[in-house]
Amino acid sequence: MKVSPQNWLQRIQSAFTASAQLLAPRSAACLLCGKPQNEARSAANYNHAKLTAQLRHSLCGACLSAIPWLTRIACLKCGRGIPCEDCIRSPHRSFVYNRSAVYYNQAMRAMLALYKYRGNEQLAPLLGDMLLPTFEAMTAEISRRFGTQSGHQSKAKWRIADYWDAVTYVPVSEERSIDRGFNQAEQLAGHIARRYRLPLMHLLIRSRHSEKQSFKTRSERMRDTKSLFSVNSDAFRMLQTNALSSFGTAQSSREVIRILLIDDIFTTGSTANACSEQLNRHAELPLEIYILTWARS
Amino acid sequence: MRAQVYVVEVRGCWKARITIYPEMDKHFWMNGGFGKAGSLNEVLADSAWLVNEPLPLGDACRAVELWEAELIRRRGKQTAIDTRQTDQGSMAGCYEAIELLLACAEEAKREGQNDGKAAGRRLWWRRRSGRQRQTAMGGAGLSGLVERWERSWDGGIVGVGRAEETRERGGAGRSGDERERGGDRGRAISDAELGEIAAGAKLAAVVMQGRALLRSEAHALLVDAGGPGAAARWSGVLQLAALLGRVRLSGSIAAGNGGRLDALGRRRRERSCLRCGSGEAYMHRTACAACGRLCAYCSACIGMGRSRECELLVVGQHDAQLGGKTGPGCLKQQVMQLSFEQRLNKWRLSPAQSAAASKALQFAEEQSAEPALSSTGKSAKVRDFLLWAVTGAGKTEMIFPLVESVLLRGGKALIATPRRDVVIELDPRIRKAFPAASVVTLYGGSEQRWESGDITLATTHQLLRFYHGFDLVVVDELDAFPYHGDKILQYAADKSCAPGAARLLLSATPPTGLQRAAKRGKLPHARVPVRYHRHPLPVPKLLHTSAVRQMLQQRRLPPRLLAAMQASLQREAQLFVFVQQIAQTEPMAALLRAALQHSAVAATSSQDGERADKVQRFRAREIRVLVTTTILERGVTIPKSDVYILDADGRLFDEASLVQMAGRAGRSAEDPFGRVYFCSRERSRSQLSAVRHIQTMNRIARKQGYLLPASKGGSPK
Repeated sequence: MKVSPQNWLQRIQSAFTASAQLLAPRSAACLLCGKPQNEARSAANYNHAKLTAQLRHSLCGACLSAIPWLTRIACLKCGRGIPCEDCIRSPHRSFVYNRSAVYYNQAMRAMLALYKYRGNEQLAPLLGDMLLPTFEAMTAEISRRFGTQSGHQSKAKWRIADYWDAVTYVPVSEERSIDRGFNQAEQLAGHIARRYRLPLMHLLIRSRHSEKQSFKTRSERMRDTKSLFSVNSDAFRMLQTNALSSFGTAQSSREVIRILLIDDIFTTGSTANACSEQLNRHAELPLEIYILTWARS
Repeated sequence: MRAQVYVVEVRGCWKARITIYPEMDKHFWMNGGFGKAGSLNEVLADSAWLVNEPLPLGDACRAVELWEAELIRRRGKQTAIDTRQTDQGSMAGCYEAIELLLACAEEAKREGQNDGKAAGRRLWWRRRSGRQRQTAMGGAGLSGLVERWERSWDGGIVGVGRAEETRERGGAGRSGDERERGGDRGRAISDAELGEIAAGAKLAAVVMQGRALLRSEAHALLVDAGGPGAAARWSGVLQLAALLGRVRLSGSIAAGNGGRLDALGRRRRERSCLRCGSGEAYMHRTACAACGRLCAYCSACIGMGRSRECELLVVGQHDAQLGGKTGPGCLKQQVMQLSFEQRLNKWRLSPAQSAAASKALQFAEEQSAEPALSSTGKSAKVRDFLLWAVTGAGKTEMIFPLVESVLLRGGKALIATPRRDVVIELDPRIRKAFPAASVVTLYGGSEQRWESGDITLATTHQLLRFYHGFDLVVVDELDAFPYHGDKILQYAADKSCAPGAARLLLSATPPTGLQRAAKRGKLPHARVPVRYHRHPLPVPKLLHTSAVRQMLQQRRLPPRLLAAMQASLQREAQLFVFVQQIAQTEPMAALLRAALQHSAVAATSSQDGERADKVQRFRAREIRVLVTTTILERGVTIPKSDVYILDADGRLFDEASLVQMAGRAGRSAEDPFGRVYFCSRERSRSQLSAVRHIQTMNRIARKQGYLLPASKGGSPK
């Protein structure tokens, strides 16, 4: 097999990061429940192969095993764990599908509140890490579906960047971002983008300030999100030119732009749908928009 | 959030200020009239310059700090510089002030970006070169950076000549439309609105007094107090209150000099949270959309709202006029003339209680008289008084006279306990003792969150939201979790005391540091060695048994323990059984149920949702035996109870804990001789010192004659 120097550099770097991880400080207390972590009961014993070291070291065993992973998917469209009426009722969504990392239960609600409303940004990398297994599964599924280079499954990590053209996120309004100080979806998207060296693009803009989604009923949400978003045309143009230039190269033989759109929660899907609609409307090339959310309620 | 900085010349003296609402400052300094509220500023400014660029709040505060430090430094050298500058006149002063402010703003921003590394001498270079540049350009370079405020026409005198001169000499580059825009902004606030804002500011001044709140909390407080409705006006209201000197606005995390020198001999500035006092170790820097740079937040007090560098912290200031405030004058006189004994009579205390209470009262009153005498020095530090009272001594009753005294003097009292249950339990007792006073009960989720009253009952965490708020602070259960060993809560307790306030520390088992200080005479204290019913404390008996784990494995109680428990049940006592681990409570309860052949056995722990209910049923004698952990070591009073501490040699039970658990027995006057057993495999040091502790207290009580004589049913020994 031909190994390019760049490939070697990447390997060396990842080996270095892995060994540096051994020296990284470990928090003495669980970031969620605050109880001191003693080694005996710590999460190291739990054989969650798919979890990152950081996640395993920052949470205690009890909190870690309380995470309701969404592994069995019943609705292929919206990624729900149970068969889903919404998707049968209105099948024409402008995105390909949604996948979520966890069920939105009481514990996850508390965790998100700690991060999003209390502003404990130490949790951001943990939530980001929780997305990784789901994201890798999504990419694997795409690669199976399009059957490109099926022989190199083990090298999937190096190839992930080939499947995606951009990572983007659901924006928040100016007021909210000043109030909260950060956009949780942007932080999650940034986490994924950094990890897999994907381009993080600010494709969307929230055009007006709306009430918090969590205070609204189902029908209100559906109605309100219609004209909430617009496309950041500069960034979008850049995306298209980048994509066009890469279409010709040997690495990819695809002719669609594949975008990963990230948000924290997927409830009715109206936000994700509104965002993808706007992107589709703006696009000159065919788009495939995949939604990755942290929780599915 | 972001804020702007400006310099203002008042009576020939330059000051630098931050503002979160520049129009308000402009109006305040240049006009002073606030609609119906009349004129709030008697000394209008001669001129003022606003730096146009909004800075992150933390940087703005830092810029003003640098400016002031530099001014003080220059004033030291003034004599040398002065002669050189006389020919340039006051305009030189003006440019110097602005230039300095701009340089300080730059420096503050740079520091903010470079993670707080002070520049040391380099800053000096920049400033000097800046001044040279200014003299060369005649100030024309300033035009885009700053805005000049002028007095509005209805404000009275306007120095026309000087304004002209300014334009000639300095503001040549300032375009006309820019000035007009400034004028428009000044006029944008109508008279009626100004009146409302002034009223809001006065309200804010009153309700904020003694508090330290984050922006969102301050808003909630103002809404609750009936402040103005529009959210846009908050900043105006708070800014005006700050201009009037009634609140202080700053970022809620600030950097101070400290820490070690680095390799280049520069001192790194260390941030700390102004609200909870936590240092650099708890600061997390993240990208912040509100101020546009990396900005630190405090992870230590995040449970009480996020405190960060660019988040506004509003600190209420004490009104100088209120210092001499008195309560109902004649009543106060009357009471103060009575002797301590007469005043204490009303509370019907036992001899030991009144002795301690009068000592504490004397301490509290002599101290509060002190700041009046030495009003010049602000050295009036919080002074502590330790009330070391055995379990069941009636501590709450002893603080009543002190609370009364502070209320009569027109002050505010705070009673802080570590636990929420205790706060809720204390509430009716306080209300009953002081029917005329307003009582506010604060804990997480309390409905009275934004009220203020004469007496405040709070969990120690709530103290983070106060600043110099109370003239008497009572810290109950000083040695209990979470107060003990928690620096944040101790900082909060220090901060909540008004200057010169008395702080009363209550404990049955003070930490060794305090015990030592008390013994050496460094800490004023009073000891109450006897319970209110004047019987000695039950002395624990040591019982040699196997470990709990072994009992559970063998499903068998040691015969001696079983016999003792049966004797207790026979004498109709309630049984407390303490174990070390939560996991052991349920199995132990099952074992006891079988061994004692008694069904009224229950277990509870901190993770039991029905704890309050079970304690209630235990009190009502529906449950006869309660297996529990240290969670019930304090604050629970069950008449006629016996205490069994299993695994008393375990590491979780230290001396204080053992004394507290032993203190559950014999608390009522009807049954003062409860039984206490320390059951363990080994005699540990903490068991022996706990026994010694109890015996010492009994001996002191006997020596001081507090115990009931044998003729009245006292103990014969």
